[in-house]
Amino acid sequence: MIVIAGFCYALYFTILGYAVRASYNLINKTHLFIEKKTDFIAHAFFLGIFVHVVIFNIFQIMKLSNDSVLVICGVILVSSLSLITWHTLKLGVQTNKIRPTKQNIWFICLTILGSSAIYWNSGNLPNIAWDSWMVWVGKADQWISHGLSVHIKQFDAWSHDSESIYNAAAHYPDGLSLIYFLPKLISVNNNGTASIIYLFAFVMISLLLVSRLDQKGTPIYLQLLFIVALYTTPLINNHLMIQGYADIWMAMYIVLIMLTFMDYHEQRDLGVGITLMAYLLMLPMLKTEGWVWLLLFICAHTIVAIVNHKHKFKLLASVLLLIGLIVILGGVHLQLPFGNLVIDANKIEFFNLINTQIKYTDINDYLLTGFFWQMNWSFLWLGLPFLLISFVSNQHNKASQISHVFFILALTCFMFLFYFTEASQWAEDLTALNRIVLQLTLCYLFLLFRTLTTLRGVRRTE
Amino acid sequence: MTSRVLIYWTLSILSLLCCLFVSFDSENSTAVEPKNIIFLLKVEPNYFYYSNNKFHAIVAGQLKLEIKTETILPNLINYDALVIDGLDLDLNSNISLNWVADEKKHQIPLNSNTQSINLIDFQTAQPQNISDLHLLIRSNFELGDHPNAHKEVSFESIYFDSRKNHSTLSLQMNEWFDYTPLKFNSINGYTSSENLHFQSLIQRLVIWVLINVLLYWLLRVSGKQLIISLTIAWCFTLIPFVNNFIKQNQQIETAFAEDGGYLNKQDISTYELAQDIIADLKNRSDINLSTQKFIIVGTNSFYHLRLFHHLMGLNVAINNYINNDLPNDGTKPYIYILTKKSLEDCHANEGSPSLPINILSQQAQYCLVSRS
Repeated sequence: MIVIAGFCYALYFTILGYAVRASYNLINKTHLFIEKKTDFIAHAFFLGIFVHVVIFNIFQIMKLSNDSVLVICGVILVSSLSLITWHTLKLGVQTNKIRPTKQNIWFICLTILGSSAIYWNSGNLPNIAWDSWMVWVGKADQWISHGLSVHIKQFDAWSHDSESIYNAAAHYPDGLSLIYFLPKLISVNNNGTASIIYLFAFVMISLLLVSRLDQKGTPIYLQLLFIVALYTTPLINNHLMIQGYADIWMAMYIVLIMLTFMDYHEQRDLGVGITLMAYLLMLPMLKTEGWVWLLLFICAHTIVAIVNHKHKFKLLASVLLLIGLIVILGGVHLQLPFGNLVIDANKIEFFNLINTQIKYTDINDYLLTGFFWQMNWSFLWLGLPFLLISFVSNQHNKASQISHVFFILALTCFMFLFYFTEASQWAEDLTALNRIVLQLTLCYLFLLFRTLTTLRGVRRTE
Repeated sequence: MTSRVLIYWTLSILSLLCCLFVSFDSENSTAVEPKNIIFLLKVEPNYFYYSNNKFHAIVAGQLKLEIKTETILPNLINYDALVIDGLDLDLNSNISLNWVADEKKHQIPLNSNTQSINLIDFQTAQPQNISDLHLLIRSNFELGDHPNAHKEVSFESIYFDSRKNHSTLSLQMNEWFDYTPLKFNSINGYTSSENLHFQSLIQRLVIWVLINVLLYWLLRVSGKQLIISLTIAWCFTLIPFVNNFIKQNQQIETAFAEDGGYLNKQDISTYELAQDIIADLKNRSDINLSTQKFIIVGTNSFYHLRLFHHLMGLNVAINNYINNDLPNDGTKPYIYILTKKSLEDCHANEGSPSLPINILSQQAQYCLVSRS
């Protein structure tokens, strides 16, 4: 029953995402072209989650009661289904008539096997993760008791406001909590349902990544190995098993963005661009550090645009000049209406996102423990130097360049934050070091296996 | 091409065997005879008995097995391993070797395998400085509502030994197949930083993989060969992973045998406490639960946070103090929920009113007060 409820919930997200895609085609009066069904379902599902979070955020602003939320939600679901039907009848859906190959069936079986093994462990496990029952699921519990539109505040603000309720992590975004909220509202087994959603999302991502590897000529045995690596990496496995943290969702959305960025550069399609924007916006809705990743994607895009521009030397010179000017002037000190922007040798303050002193902390030991002494997780990271070398040694197209630049920027930013800012405290108690790396792991694995494809005599020739 | 592949695999397999079997220990210590310590164990007879060729220890929470050191003390630092044969340890229990050396406490968690081989280093050059040597068996109550608080741990023999008496591979295997139980903080890492049993495996595999990369580059074989090497290395890490995964399943099944809804025993008591508080409040006509604000007085400990979790239906917060100057926002004054340590404030107030509070309800487990 729990498994069926989980699949129904996954279907709900997919319908929402499908409806958005169908309405885009209706407006454009174009056919919806489904090249590969697993790819389509994956995008519809993740787009659906975005739509769900946005709609529920609107419900919060509109101050709707929980009962009306449920009713409107039903109305939205029915309209989405009608829209899909109307679109199919009016414009039709073109699908690529590729029959599932033996390999596809193998991949699906392997992901189902991996998911079942994880569910076998997590099925009896209550929601044990602290942050989860206090914050992510905790907020959903509070909305159930006090209404979705109640103001949730931290202690000081709460004590000044008689209308609000308290949560220690009130400033965290609501994205993940909103995924937990609906099953709670319908009163189904929340933990089990959410567990299926996690596993379903991960199956979708696995199939999507494998299909991209396939496009790049990765041989079947390497694709199979890729799925085995995905499901047997301890930290990924743990986050699917002890569900309730947003990091695995960040990882999935970051890799989705990377793939969609590549698609956008190859196809230049407006629809893909809109999807990309939705995924990018999802990042800060899931976790506060989503803003950092969002800015890094923008940086990566800008850097690659500059490098490929015909006036690249002039542009690079002006950027360097600007950086030099900032250094000479002793940093940036701006007071803007939406917060302060201070970057100098002692302090970094970026609006409300970060405000920290710059001070070197030696976290080498923790970094080694977190990265390298953790079973096959550590073995994975052995490939990092080779991957970085391959970025430079091989020729890449613009789309790949963006993913590489993003990855290097993300790693640099990660190292900088943990070595030089107050974030080092979370490295020292080993609470966040691994989890932040986890957010990049799916990207890393994808890039690593793509690099393995470039080894002598490995690429599939057809 | 075929001959190069053959050379690749010959060298690769040879190097793998080297990496797995070669001992990197630089110490030239000579092997010493194993020393059986079963008769040196000092423990209350009620908790320790011999039957069916095995020694059995009954653990209620924790059990300390002292090791009498008078006869072995001069030679103690010559031993660098502790071996337990036929160990049968519950998945929600753990065992450790503890001692004080040079006035500093040391602890080594022991492996939970059937033959548990543990490398030890007494961290001192003077054996007479070693004191309070003991084994400690503890039941782990962090997860689950363990139906039977009394655990039985059994083993066939226990002895101090020298690592030279064991092959490098058996020492390695013992570490790889050690068990990492599931804990509240498991999400952050896999093995705890105090008990890294994969470090040596990873270091050895890293050397082997680098040799393979070098061979691939020098012999110019197909990348497929390198990928096969990587897969073999991955399998080496995969076997302990799967082994641990299966053991975790058994741990979860026994830990949450009765009711999977609560995290542990303490959680059940916080839930019951929360129900009592809610029932108490509902009986009072002077409190409007929908508008009243509550503050649990206490730290951010598991107990208080779980109480907060079970009271989420109320407008409740957690704060360390009772007598801080919270702004009066025009509504009714806050009701403070005192439990555990902060309950003392309530009792103290009965005799001499040290804090300006009104006691609304006073029970054995909790106290509801407001500031006067």
